[in-house]
Amino acid sequence: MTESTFTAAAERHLDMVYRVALNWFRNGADAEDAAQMAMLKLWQADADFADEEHLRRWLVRVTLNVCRDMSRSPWRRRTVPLEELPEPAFSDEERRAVYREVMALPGKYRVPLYLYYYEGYSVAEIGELLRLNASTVQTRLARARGRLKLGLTEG
Amino acid sequence: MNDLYRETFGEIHASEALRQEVLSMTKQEKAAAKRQIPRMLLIAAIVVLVLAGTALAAAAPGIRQWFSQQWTQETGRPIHTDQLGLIDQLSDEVGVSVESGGVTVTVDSVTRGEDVIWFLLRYDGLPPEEELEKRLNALERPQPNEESTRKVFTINGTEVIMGEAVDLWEEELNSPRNYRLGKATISFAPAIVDPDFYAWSLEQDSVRADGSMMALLEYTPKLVGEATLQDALDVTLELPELQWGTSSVRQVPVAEGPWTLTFSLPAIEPSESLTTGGGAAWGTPPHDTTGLGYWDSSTMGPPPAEEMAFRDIQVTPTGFTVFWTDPEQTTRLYTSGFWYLRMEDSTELRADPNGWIYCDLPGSQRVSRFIWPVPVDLGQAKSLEYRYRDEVRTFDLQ
Repeated sequence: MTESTFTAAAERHLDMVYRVALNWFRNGADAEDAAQMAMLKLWQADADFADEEHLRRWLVRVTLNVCRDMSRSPWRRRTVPLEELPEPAFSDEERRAVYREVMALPGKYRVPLYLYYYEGYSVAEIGELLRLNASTVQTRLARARGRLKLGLTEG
Repeated sequence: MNDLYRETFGEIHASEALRQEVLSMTKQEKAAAKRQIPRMLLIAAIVVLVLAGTALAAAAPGIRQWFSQQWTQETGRPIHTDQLGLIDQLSDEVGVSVESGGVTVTVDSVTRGEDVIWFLLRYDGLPPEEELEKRLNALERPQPNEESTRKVFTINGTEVIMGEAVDLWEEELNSPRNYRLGKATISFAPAIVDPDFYAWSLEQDSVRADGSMMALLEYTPKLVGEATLQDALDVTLELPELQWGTSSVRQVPVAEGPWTLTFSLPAIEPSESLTTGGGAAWGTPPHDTTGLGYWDSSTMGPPPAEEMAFRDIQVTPTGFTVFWTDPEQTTRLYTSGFWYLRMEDSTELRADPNGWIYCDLPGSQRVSRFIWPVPVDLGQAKSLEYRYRDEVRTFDLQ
C-alpha cells in the first residue's frame, strides 16, 4: 500500500473504525487504541483490495479482531461505570439520549446494531464479520431493538 | 427512528489527535511503524514479560478448561466460542498463593455472576494417595454409641442408609475417596452479603502426577442492599484444614492450614438478563416425619402437588430467579421438577436442582434462585423449560 492510498483510506474510514471500536468498548480511550492498532495493520498489510467495499469490510474485520484481542487481555481494566465515561459532543439532547441508551446495552448488542443500522451490513454479513450464526445476529438485533425506547425498525 | 440512530452516530468522529497519529504512520518506514504499538498494549507486553513463569501468567486457561469440560458433561456437546467469550468476560485472573504445612493453595481465577462466585483453586504439594490410603486404613473403627440412628429407607426403588457417621463405617469402606475442604470462610469489603445465609459446594479434579489438584469452590451468598458480586471487591478467603477420606469419621488430615488468601477484584460489566413473564410450576410439601424431606414413592405413592404461580423469571448468564406470586406457598411447599435452558441449536443446560434457595428481596418479594453449572452466553438462549414428571412447560425468553 502506498502512502497516498493509505492516507486516502484513513481519511475515509478512520471514523468508521473508531465507531466500531467505541461500540465494542464504550470507552473512548480503548477505542482510540484499537483504532490506531487497526490502522497500523492496514499500513503494514501487503494486501490488494479489489474495491472500496473490500477495503471497508477488511477494516471492520481487523478492527473487531483487535477489539476481541484487547478484551481478552487481563491487563485491560474492562469496566468503567457508564456515568463516568466521557461522551462525544452532540448537537442536541435527543441524540445524546440516544447515545446513552445505546451505550447502556450489553456489548454484544451494540456492535451488530451499529453494523446493521449505520454501516448497512446485512444480517448474514454481520454474522460473517462477528463469526456468529445469522440466527444469533437476528436474535441479538431483535433483543437490542426490544430494549431501546428508540423504536428502531427492521431494514 | 432509524434515521435518529444514524444521525447520532454520524456525529461521532475520531479525535484530531488520533487522526494525526494515524496519518503520521506513513512518515516512517513500515518496519519502523511496527514499533508504534499503542501505549496500553506496550505496558501489557512488559507486564507479561515480568510475570512470565509466575502462577498469574501460567494459569490463564484454567477456568476455560474447567468450564469447557463441565459444559461437555452437562450438554454432551463441545463448548462454543461464544460461551468461552462469556466465561472470559466474567472471569479475572488472581494468582495469589499461600503455603501452609507443605501445601500451597493458589487462587487461580475468579468467575462472577451477580449472586454467585466461583473460585478456581490449585493445591500443590499434596502427598501421594497411596500414603494417604495407608493412613486411612490405619484408622480404628469407632464404637457405635447407644443411640445409634442407623436406618434404611427405599426412595424411588433405591436403598438409602441414613444415620450418624459412626453408623456408616461399613458402608464407607469402599466409598470413593476425596479431599474434604471443610467450611470455607469468605468475606467481602464492602460488606455486601449476609454472612449467615449462603450455599456453597466444592468440586475437585483428580490429583495430577506432580501432586497438584484443581478445585472449584462455588459460593452463593445472600446479598444485602443493591450491590452485587460483580462490583469492585476486596476478598478474603479462608480455607480450613484439608482432610482426605470418605466422611467425617473416615478421614485423615493432609495439612492443617488455614490458608488465608486476600485479593482485590475489579468491577465487571453487569450481566445481561432475559425474562419469561408469568407462569406456574409444581410445588410439593416436604415429608418431615422421617427427617428425609422426600417422599418414599415405593410405599407412599406420589406426593400431592400444588401449582405455584410466578409473576416472572429473570434469567442471567449464571442462573435465574423465580419471583413467586404467593409468598404463603413458599412457606409450606418445595418447588419440584427440573429447569432447563434451551439454546437455538437445541443444546440443553440443566440448572442445579439442589441449587435453589428461597430468599426475600426488598418489598417482601419471595424468590427462588437457581445456578447454572456453567456460565452461559444468553445470545443463543431460546427458552426456559420446566419439566415435572411427564409434563413440559416452555417459557420463551425475551
